[in-house]
Amino acid sequence: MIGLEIHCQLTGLNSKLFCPCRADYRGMRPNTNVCPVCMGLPGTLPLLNAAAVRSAAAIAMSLNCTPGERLAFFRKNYFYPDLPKNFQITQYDAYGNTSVGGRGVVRLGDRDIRITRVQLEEDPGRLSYEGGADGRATTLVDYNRAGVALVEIVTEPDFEDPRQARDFMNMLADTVESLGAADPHLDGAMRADGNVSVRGGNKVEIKNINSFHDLEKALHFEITRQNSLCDAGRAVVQETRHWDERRRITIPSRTKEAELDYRYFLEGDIPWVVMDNDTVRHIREAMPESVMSRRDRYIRYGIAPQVAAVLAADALCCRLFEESHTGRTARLIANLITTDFMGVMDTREKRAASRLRAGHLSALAGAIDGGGITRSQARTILAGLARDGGDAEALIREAGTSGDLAGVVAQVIQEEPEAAERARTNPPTINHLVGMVMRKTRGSADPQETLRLIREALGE
Amino acid sequence: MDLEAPAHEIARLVSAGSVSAEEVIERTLERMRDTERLNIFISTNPDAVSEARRIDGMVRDGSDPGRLAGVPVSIKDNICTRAMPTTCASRMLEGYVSPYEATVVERLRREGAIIVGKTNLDEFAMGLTTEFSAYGPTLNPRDPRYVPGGSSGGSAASVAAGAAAISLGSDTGGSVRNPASFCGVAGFKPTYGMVSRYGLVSYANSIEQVGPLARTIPDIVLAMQAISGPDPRDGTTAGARPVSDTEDIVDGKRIGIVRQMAPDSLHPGVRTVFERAVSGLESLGAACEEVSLEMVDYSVAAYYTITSTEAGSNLARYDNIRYGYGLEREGYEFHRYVAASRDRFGPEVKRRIIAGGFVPSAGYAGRYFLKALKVKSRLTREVNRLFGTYDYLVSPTVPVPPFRLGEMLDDPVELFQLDINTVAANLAGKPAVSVPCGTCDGLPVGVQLIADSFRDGPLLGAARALEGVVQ
Amino acid sequence: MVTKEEITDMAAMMRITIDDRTEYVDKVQRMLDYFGVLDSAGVDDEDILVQEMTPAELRADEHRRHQMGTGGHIRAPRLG
Repeated sequence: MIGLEIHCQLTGLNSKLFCPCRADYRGMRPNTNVCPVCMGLPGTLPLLNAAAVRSAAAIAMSLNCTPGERLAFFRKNYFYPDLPKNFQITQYDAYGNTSVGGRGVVRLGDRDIRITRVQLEEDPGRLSYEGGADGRATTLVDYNRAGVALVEIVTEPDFEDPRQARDFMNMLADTVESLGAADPHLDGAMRADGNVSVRGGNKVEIKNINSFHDLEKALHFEITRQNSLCDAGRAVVQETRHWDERRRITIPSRTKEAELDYRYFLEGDIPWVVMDNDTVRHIREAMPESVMSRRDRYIRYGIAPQVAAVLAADALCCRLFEESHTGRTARLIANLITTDFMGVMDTREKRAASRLRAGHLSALAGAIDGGGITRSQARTILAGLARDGGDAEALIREAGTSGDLAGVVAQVIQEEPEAAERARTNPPTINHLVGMVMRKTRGSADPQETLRLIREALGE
Repeated sequence: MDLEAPAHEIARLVSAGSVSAEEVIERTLERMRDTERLNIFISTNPDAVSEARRIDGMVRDGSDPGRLAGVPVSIKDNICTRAMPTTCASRMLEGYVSPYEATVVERLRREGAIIVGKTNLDEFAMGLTTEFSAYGPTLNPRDPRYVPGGSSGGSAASVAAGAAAISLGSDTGGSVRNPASFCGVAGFKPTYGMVSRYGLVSYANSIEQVGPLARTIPDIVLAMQAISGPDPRDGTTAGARPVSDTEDIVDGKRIGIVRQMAPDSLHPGVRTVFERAVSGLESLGAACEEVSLEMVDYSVAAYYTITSTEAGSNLARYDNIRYGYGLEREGYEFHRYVAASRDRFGPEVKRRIIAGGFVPSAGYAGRYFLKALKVKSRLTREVNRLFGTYDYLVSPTVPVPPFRLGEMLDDPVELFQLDINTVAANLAGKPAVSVPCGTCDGLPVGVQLIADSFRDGPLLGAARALEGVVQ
Repeated sequence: MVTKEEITDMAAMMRITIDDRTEYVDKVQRMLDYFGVLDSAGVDDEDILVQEMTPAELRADEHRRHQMGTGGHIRAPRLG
């Protein structure tokens, strides 16, 4: 079984968790996004960020976790160069649920995933290493990241395979993004550690996994490793292992067990935050609909579950959908977005840059529904609008003439099944059908276009 | 110009232009040099005279120089200042200059106070004799063979010696009140959260406060008016209300004499002074009667359990990586380097850090730390209940009169017992003041008054009444 | 009673070097023994009291630049 411990930076904030330095430290020169507080200088005190509490509580509530009635902060004590104070301010449930999120359950596909807790804490600084292979490397420390707000989400071991773990990460990424709490695509904004155990054996913790893709790989490797040990009749040692990105294996980490006594105790500099009903209600009311409940709502519109899931997970597409459909056109527009639009604009970046607007979609759906244009014409028009924008009504009108013609063609073929069959086997006789169409349109149809449409309709 | 004059008198004369701030400060610096053998100061403000001239300039220009205009103030060397190093009397922070100024220092200076120097203390405020200092012990100005108390011993001595009119100390378990008692000055520990701790180097952050020392209670009030109130840089001060003018009324007030703080074993000389003070309060119309605070018997153990835990964590940041002293890094592994650099802590600090490792460790957590928190909570509830009936509680500040240097150093636990009357106010977060009330064999003895949370102003009023009646 | 070895181990964890047995082992043992007084306080049922604040009293999420940055890495000894 697999459990996850996910850390998500609240990149949507303006400032760090306890001081006014930037939450977004990316691209800054080392140690320029620092102040006396996040550097842990003597005499400084942490000042809890109100928006961080709101965002973290919103994430917790999205995962169906209940915020503690009072939020308490604790110190996790250990010496490490990336920790300016040599302790990390975090949350801990020593005296009941005092975290931003207590136990919760979320539905993932056909499974229930239990959430153990959701906590708010500070990110450490970043370490890099300089120097020789002789092992005399110097540790280089950059504290720009130190003190950035992190939300830690811990799940129970409820994933059966690495794919589910990855699905959960994707769902979580969509959730934090739709809440505006974080941009999960930023490098290092979402990180996961995994807990793996097989056949009821010991639990192994895997750290240092840097991407969703690697998470799946690392979990696969670890499951295979543990299964081979079991098959060989050997015991799995309870330990922490590191994912080696380059070699694509997990290796035992060198942390000594004796160092793992973090001596948690209450952080007296931060009074307990009373999460009264009004506060919780305000946070809940300000929360956008969760990806899951939105998907369920879309299914109720008659949209296929697969299509609803794809649509619900993308904030921009959701907006286009919500602003364009009339209820009656919901299914049609969902399909236009998820197959046609997402087909031509196949990344979030491309879609963000696209010129397609909700008005375009309403116009297209209305025209298809009213028989003005065909589905395939709509696809062509949408591709153009997505790329260049423009006047949807005009494009539809333009296509519509041929749309009317297509209707006449279809009618003629239906009325003259024998002539149609003849035309299939003996192509020159197709002119009979063309003549029929010309007669019906009183000569207004373009002969070349008519020919093309008949050929298309005959399935050539 | 009398250097023993009250601060409010100095400020009045300076503001009126009758005396120049420059003269006050020059004379104070001279006093500091004359009393050098007492080892009161760790550093002297090189800008003191120029700052005094700036105040004089404001007086000449007719602009308001503030209510502490030209008043010489000393600051305990665990409170951050930009003009001078902040060493915490530790070799670990030798020469460390803070890039920012503590809120309390900013607020005093905004009122025209002149910071003359940084005073000696027990290393990181851990002690009650000022003997555990990397800069050597401070001597008691009343008799240099005696300790000045601690840990704000330098602050109390500076005020007693006329080398400052007001001093800021910090009080974790009596560190302002104890030396105030030993040096014969007034010392005040405000309600927890009443005064900003931004810039106070943390020892036990959940219970300590910055507090003023002065020769008289009105000067304590003056200092509190400047430093108290909410500070957006200290989240624990959100509920603070600045101290306003106080009335020295004890007539008709009910005062509880805490039995556990004046036991049969109380030093007879201290008892004499204490009983005289209680009679004085009664003569002013207060009704004094004995009350019981059961948790006092456990308060010292709870206090040291909490303080060593917090100290172990608060002092972890001193690893010589981001700031510190020049210790060559070549050849060291990180953790060995940190241990080597931390060898500069003195023995008392090292002991408390080690003990502070045990208390919250996995094997110990339930046993001691949680119990200490529960004693703290029960004590607070007991005290709150008493304040349902009584306006103030009274006790001797320290159960013994000042003792000689070196006399008490050896047994840490024996030394702990001297905190028995002061730690309760810290654990319960209540304001408490020590008022000089007499002497025992020529050495000062203080009496402590405690009030309910945020009753700092009325408490200082009662203290002023007590001060008046024992003179 | 905490053993000498436990004190030595704890000192190492707190990154404190101890050289003098009387100064550290004996005195720390005395301190920890003294904390045992708490066992007889009879406070097991007590709820803990803590300072509280309302969400409105939290710091507003505003950025302010501080001018203390160095623009370069801080060098620490290698990690073993």
